[in-house]
Amino acid sequence: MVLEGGKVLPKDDWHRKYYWDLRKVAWQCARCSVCKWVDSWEVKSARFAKICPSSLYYLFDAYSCQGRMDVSLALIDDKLKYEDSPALLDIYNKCNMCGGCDAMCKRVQDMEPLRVIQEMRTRLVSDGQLLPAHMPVMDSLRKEDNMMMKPKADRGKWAAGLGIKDLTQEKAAVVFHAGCNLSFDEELWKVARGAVAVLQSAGVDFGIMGKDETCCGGRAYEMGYQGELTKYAENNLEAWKNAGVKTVVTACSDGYYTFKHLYPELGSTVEVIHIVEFIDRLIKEGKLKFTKNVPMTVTYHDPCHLGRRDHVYVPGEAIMGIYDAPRDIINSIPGVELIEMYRIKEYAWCCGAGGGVKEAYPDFNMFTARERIEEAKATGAEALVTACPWCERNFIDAVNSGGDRLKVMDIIELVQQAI
Amino acid sequence: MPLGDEKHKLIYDELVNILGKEYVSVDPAVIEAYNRESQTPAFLIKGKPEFIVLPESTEDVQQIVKLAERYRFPYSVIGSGLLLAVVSAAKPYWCIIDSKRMDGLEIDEKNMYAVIEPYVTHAQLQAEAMKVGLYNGVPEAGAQSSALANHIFAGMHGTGFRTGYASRNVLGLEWVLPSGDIFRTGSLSNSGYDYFWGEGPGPDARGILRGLIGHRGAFGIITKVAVKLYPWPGPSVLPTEGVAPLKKSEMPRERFRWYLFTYPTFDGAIEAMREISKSEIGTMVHRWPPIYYNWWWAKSKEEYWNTWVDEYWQKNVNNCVAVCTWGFASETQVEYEEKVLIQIIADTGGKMIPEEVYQRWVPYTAGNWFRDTNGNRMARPAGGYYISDMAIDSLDDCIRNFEAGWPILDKYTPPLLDSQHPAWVVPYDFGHCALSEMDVPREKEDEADLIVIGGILNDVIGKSMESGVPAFLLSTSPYDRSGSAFANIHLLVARLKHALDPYNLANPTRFISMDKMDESEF
Repeated sequence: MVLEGGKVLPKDDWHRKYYWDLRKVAWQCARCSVCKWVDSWEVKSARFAKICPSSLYYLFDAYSCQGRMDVSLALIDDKLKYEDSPALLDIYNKCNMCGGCDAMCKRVQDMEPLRVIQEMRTRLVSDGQLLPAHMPVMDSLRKEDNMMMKPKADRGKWAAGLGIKDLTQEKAAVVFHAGCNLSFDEELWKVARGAVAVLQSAGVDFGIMGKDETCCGGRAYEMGYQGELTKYAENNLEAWKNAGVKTVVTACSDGYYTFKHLYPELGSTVEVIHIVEFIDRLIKEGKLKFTKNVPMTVTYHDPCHLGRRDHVYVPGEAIMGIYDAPRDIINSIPGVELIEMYRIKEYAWCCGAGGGVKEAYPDFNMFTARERIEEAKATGAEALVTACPWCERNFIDAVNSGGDRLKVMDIIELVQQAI
Repeated sequence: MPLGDEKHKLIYDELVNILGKEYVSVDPAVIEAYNRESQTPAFLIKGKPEFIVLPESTEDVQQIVKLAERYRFPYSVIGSGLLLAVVSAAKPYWCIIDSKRMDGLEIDEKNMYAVIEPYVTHAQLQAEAMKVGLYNGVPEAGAQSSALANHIFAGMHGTGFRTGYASRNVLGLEWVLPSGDIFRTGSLSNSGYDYFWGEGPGPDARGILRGLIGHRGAFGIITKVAVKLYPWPGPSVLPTEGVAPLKKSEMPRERFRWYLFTYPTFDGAIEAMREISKSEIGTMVHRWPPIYYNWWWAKSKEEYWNTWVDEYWQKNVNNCVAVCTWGFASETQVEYEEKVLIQIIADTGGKMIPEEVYQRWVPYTAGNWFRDTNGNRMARPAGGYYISDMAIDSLDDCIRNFEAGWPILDKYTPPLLDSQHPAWVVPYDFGHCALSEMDVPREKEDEADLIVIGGILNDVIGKSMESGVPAFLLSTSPYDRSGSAFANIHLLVARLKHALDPYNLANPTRFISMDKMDESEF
């Protein structure tokens, strides 16, 4: 007990001003269940009221953020041991790391529950508690430097014939980082090509690492592999430094988040821009004009790593991410009508692909994506637009699995239709 | 808990036969997630359940209950599980029935009621009701809590002044008794009828169901309930601006208006509420203590404590009555009610709060009382809070309850934290009864809780017996302990419990602990 101004105040200074502490955050969980649901003020439909995919799919509370706080506390306090629970690895890994729970929790508490889950994942891996389903991807990453289980020699083929500067040979202040997904998913090469076309049309002096580009390390980190993040961060930062890079531009939201929020902890001072920020800037400066009408109704999906996860936590401040730039872009394209889904911005539903879920739990992954497709269909829009290749690929697969007629595209593809 | 013994395995196999393996868990880590919540000290939630099950239907629940009777294992049911303490495991072989798969919701727009299953939240119900011009109130527990559970527990809705204490809004319902029989009440008891009417068959069984704060599953499990809906004169979607936690929500002024006005004394505020009640104007009428304003408004712990130490809310909203008028019938109704309210304020010596204070609070926080998550914000400042006392009786009794309750609060502060004699008063049913509640922030640690919980519980019960004001504590006081302070209600409850649940399997300790009752007494 502390007396201040005659008032009895908490004696633990953590209650006066928040700071990160693993156990305190896990302990603080009030079991209010806000982490399972969309912000109450924003619930517009009973059908689309949940925020947490794993809570909705697996049902038991252990698969919610609240449950993970309880389990974490038990592990931290040594009241639960790894060998006690066959379900333990699934409890932590059946989570997209989308941050929906975290954003909703911050509406009512000073907490970072997603950070608890991340630290526990890292702890599990460092303690040798490895999810077997992640092994093939991790082995491939170590051998081929990508998360797609493809040969590294094929990386960079998406840029064939584009005449882009090779930063392993030349220098430029800006690097375009395609990312693993765009590099190897041929159906999505048009997104990477579209992004560089925007940079070229704006006269930006930029280059790519081509086949020497490597993974950002972000997805591996979220799966608990801290070492891989460090390794790829050091590798990328060194390569960029050698090429004189000051700014990295990417069209991959996972990569964007990793470069912007994880690399600085490892010494990065490189500026990070997502291509939607760049396009939005060009439009607002009058340097990108749309000359064609695109009569289409679209709905926009906020990628988690571009939206609510693009946020440095300061208690009491808005959970900001890049919500407005993509919407401003869409709204400035002649003929396009934007219809919002029920769950958007900081309370958006996840695509399902993150956190190692796509690699390990295909049914859960597809359930989550299908849920979003249903929500998109409920708007009546012709197309679902997003700004992340992981989201786009997951939605394409989900549409195909359901036989739906909904078009799925990256925002760059929409922009290109109007130029 | 004898996990893994023959009886445990037998029960597990039978539960799997009923529900399927994916809906039954005995995994220790899964069970860990059903063991803790912030309102109740950890030491009061002593045991761990042995089974977590996820039924999908009333028939599934019926089979589980019949299985429990056959093998004599205890069980309890949770909705959101916000107040886990009232249903947490306390005996071997305890099975928690998690209602997550029971999320049915239907609205009868014409007859203005909704039929809901246990895992429908207030926010979901409200969102669907608002689409068709109807409304259901939200309790302080928050819109993410179970609407069914709240209606049969402690339904203190923000609109209770006009729409009544929530349990008054219960119509027909479906009830799995501890025997496994399905009891359908009201109009449902007639074949072919639906949920529209609540009374009967014969004597109104809802009295057994709810009492004042419900039976927490000790008389069986409610699997469906119809709740009244009220006209909603507002937009079909709650209007919001901004990004969490910096959000605003403002209702159209032609149909909704907030008035916040203060009095020099507590009695003055109560007198105003009495006059407002007699006039039958307003839809939300509250006397919130300054601590509530801070609790819901502060966006961080730092902001909370700095503002509290600076006494911003204490200086500006002490003895403040908050009224929200709704133009149910028309905009003219809002104009009329405003005129009446202004007159009452003048007659009773009230004074409107400064515009700066109004704008600081109303756009960002008043929307909570239409739909939001209040209760868990109260855990933000120090990890937990405590309902140190609560009563529902007349407005006069509320005043007496605070006068008797504040000294007890002072006695336990510290370790309870500063709260400046909180006094939340809500008239229900146009003032025919009223809630008086004292909530206090509490630093969530077992050592302090031991002092507080043990001490306050005894003192409040003792105070009730002396003053005659029937105060009670929600989660920590089974009737066998506190009933003698309330006209020996524990004896009636024991008779009902014995008749409905002779083997004492339905939440056998949290409502009344039959093991502690002398059978000859009831």
